[in-house]
Amino acid sequence: MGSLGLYPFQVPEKVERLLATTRILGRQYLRPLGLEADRQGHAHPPDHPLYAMLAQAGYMERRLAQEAPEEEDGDAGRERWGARSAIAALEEASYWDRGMAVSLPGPGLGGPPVAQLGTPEQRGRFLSIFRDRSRPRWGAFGMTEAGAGSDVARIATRCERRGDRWVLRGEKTFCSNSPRADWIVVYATVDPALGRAGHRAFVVPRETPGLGPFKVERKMGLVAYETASFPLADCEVPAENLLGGEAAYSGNAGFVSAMKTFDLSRAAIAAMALGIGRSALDHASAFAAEAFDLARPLNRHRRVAERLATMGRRLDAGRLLCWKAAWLVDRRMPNSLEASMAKAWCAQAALETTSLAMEVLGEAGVVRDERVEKLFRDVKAMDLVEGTGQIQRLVIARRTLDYPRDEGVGR
Amino acid sequence: MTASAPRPEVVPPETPIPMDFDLGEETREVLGLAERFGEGLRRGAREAEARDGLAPETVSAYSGLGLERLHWGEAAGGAGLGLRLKTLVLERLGHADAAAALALDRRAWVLTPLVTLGGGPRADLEAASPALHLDPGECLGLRDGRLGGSIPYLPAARADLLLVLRGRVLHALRSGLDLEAVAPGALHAAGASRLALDAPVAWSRELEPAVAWWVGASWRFPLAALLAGLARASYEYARAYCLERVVFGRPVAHHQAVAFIFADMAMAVETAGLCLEEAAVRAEALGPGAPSAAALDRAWLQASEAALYCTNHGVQLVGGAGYMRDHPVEKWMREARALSLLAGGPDAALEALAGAALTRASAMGEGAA
Repeated sequence: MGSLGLYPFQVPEKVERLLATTRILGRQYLRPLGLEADRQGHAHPPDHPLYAMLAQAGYMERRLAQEAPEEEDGDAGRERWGARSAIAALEEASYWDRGMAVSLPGPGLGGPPVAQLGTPEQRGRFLSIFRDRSRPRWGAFGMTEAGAGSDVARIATRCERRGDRWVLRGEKTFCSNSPRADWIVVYATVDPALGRAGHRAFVVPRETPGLGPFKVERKMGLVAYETASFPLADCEVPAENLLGGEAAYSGNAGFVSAMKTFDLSRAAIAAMALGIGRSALDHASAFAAEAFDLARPLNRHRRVAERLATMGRRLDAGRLLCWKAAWLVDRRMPNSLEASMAKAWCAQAALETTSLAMEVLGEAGVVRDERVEKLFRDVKAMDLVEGTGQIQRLVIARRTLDYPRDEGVGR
Repeated sequence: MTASAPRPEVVPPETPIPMDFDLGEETREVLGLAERFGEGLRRGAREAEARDGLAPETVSAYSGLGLERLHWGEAAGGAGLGLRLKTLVLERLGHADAAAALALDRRAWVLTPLVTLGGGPRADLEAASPALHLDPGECLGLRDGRLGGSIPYLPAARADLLLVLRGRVLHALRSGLDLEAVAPGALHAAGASRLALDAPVAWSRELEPAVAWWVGASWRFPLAALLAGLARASYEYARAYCLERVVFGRPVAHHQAVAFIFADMAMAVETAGLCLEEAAVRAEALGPGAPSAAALDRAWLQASEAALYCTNHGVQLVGGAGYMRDHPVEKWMREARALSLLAGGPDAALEALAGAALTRASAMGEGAA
């Protein structure tokens, strides 16, 4: 086990090195560039020197390993740490700037479906590009539509087989990093009437005719990465871009693969929320130390201290939920209940934390120069993406109450 | 008061501890034993409440299980199986009947500081009915070797040893402990008394601040475990009831407004349990004193909030029937409220956490990296 003490639970040295590297990256680049992006109102361009530097340093390859934890530590008898390693690193990166962390090159949310559903040939074809250090590359994940947000079973983008090609028709929205992605994993349906059984997952390369144009959304926060909507207008992809091949879609395989992505990604979003919340806590603590003479026993100081204590307690409880959800992934045990609990709890706790941090700052908290104002805007998204807090509660209800599936929850 | 730009630095987290959720075969066996014993406690809970105490055979049966001293070291006559297992056992017993568990296990917990820290005559460890009172504000008076004052409530029917933590001095009293029975609103099985105290101090020991804090806080371990058990009991009972009872054509639990409450109850139960385990692992790994303090305060507050939330909603979700004594949820709601007032209540835990937060903030202001 490591001895640097960068995380409240013992982790192997290799995970500690990852945390230490993330901390350096965060302090030197993520935070200042995140603040800069927020102030200028748009993301840094794909040719920003940071992205090139990271590509050259092999950062994308390391993300591949993080996002496909089942391929890591695979030796029989060795304890697997991939999921726990990922959530610890994501919390640390989000502590410095969650928007910049998401903007960094790599397969992103597109990685897990390719890794889990793709054939060996497809994994080689689509993931090997991230081993090319000559330039930064991105992957993206296109599921959400205007009419199918949390209820992903209702996607309306159609796919139709024509000879050795598939034709995609529809529109995707809120797709992170898509304008700069080399490929996007797009979910479509052969027939909406089939429900989940009709789902198929395709890798759509950037240059495919009919893909785009991309409309970059204007967001409340997290402006350091682009979130875009785009049409698929008779967009043709070769049959070999159907992830896993047609045989893989007996039953609900397409839907299940998308949902499986959430097993870790919900815990990952929870960890990111924790990182934002911890950042707000530390900022408020530092502000209190600078602004108030804490040695004087004033009532105001007690109220500030109680807010700080509550913030820390909620985040610490959330970290335990995340840790357990990730521990289950590492043990190859089902975790959708725990992942949804982590997501629902941490998003709420982090929002409460940023809000309380603004109260500690008082009127100064309103000013955009103060980091907490940005964190308050950033963190709200954590309760929306990968299933809102309400969807997480529906998942919990399904798992604990046998809540009926036709009440609108996917799994 | 104006603020200059704060320095955004990182305060190191608490000392890393191993946090694994694999309980192991021995632990599961012990917990199974506690659960089976708990089934009997649950069945006899109303009777114990009515008689303001436990049947002698229940006390005897518990004593025979060897669960009481699980966490004590072998040198002190314990099993040396650690704090984590003991708190998990108490969670199971709290799930069965918190008032009975308090009565059955109070002795072990009151004496735990003496076992852990050493000190005091060996005979004190043989006390049959020890009690503990926390007096952080030094409300009790000390004069000429006698402690005087009023203790309005002790969850005990009798006491042959009273440990009083007054400020950071631990006092032991063995005589003059004439407890007067009072009628409690909850926790009947544990007994309930008040004490008009004017008694000689048998011995006193001044403790280091961190150790003094730990003595008081250690009383929160069993209470947090019982509160977590109460929260889970109420959640599970209401869940079973609401899955069986049908309103407007479907089970009560399958109405979304109700299902969301259950989801929040499930999260409250889960976080309370996890925080409790973390606090126990931290205390086991780091020993008594400040490093494990914050985790215990967190666990206590999480468990207290979970119990208050889940027992209130337990009654709510069972509806009018839940208000009646035909169902246990009303008892659990009274017990959660009462238990969470002991050991200084939420104020003491929040006070401690707030103090730690100020220390942390000060360290941050000094530019801790």
